[in-house]
Amino acid sequence: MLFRRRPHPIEAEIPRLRRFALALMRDRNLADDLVQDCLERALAAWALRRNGPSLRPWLFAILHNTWRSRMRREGSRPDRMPLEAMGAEPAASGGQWERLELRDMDTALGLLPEEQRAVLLLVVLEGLGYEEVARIQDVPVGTVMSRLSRARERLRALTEDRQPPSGTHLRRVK
Amino acid sequence: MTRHSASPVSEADLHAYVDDRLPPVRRADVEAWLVTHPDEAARVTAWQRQADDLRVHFEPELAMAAPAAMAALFDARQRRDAMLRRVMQVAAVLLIAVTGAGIGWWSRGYVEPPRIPALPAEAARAHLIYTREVLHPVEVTAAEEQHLVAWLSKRLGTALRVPSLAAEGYRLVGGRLLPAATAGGTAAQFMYETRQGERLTLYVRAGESGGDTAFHFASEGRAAAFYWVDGGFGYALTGEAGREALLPVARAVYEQLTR
Repeated sequence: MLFRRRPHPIEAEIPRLRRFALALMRDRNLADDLVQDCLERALAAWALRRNGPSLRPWLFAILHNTWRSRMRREGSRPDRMPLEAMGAEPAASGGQWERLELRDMDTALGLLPEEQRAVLLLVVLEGLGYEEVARIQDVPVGTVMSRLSRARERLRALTEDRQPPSGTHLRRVK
Repeated sequence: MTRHSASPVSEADLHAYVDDRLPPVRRADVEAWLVTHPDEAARVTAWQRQADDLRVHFEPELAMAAPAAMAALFDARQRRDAMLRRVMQVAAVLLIAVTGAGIGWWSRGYVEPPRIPALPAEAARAHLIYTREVLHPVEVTAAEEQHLVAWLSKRLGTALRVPSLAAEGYRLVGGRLLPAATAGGTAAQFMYETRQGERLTLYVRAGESGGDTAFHFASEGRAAAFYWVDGGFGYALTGEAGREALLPVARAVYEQLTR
């Protein structure tokens, strides 16, 4: 191409949007479809964005709204990954452990209620502040904190269950 | 250890600690508190590990190139914006061309009428020429005021009245007859000065077309003038002391002449 167009400011955020959508939906096609929808909405609203929030929280709010309205439209269908899948994980040993643990992380993430998963991803992956997340989800900060707390504790319970067996398998009972 | 009394560590503090969102002082409080609370410390460590795992797991996603459909969205946007800009440019050029042609057609055969120099400009020119004169600022001096008024009244075709500006600190120096650009072709200039030698001129021009006008102000360079048209005669009081100084004098002139 002789002429390389100047990238739109939104374009630099696409990898983050796609990553969040993927972690949220755990299916690349669905995630990209959601991001595509989000980008169309963002471009349509671009001219109206004056002195509003900074770009990243603004885009994540649009992505989150797009995702929620899609959820509403399709009805609250069950998570695609059933709980039983957890038990089907093969036992791991030795050097393979770390990779398996990461895949476990992905699986465990899928077991979190969606709003909790979204809070955890926005805070940990995107580094957004609690107030920003509260605005994105349109809930009080207290709700964000309790979602974050429940997400972390659930994830901890799920991954601690999967510590490498060292003789007797001790389950932490809460 | 002597330290400030820390408020109790909450669950929210623990999350803010993990997410590195505590101010340094509070962070130190939480760290100290965790030393004495091993169960909570274990939770916090687990959360930190989760966060690291999440970041490591999803880090490679950031290096992925956007799918063609997303890039196409921005390409289309760019093309649309460029097209819109082009259309606006063409429209602007067309508008200018059409307007120009329209003006050209509409004004065909139109010859600009001879312009009569505006009253204040003509008065200012005469003011600047004669107030600089040391030897012959006027043709007829105030010593022959009756003769001066009679002569200029005859030449301008009206009974001129010469306002008295003694109350404003000006005495009449005298007057002269001048050619004017109006149809009548004549004008009279009366010159006044203060004790310090600051000069004003009252310019009266015959043959003003158009109706009476209100009291106007104009300035050009150092010369400032209040002027008006009354009964076919134009009057302009011109001075160089600025608008504020000139205004009360102009009012006095206006009142005496239009009374």
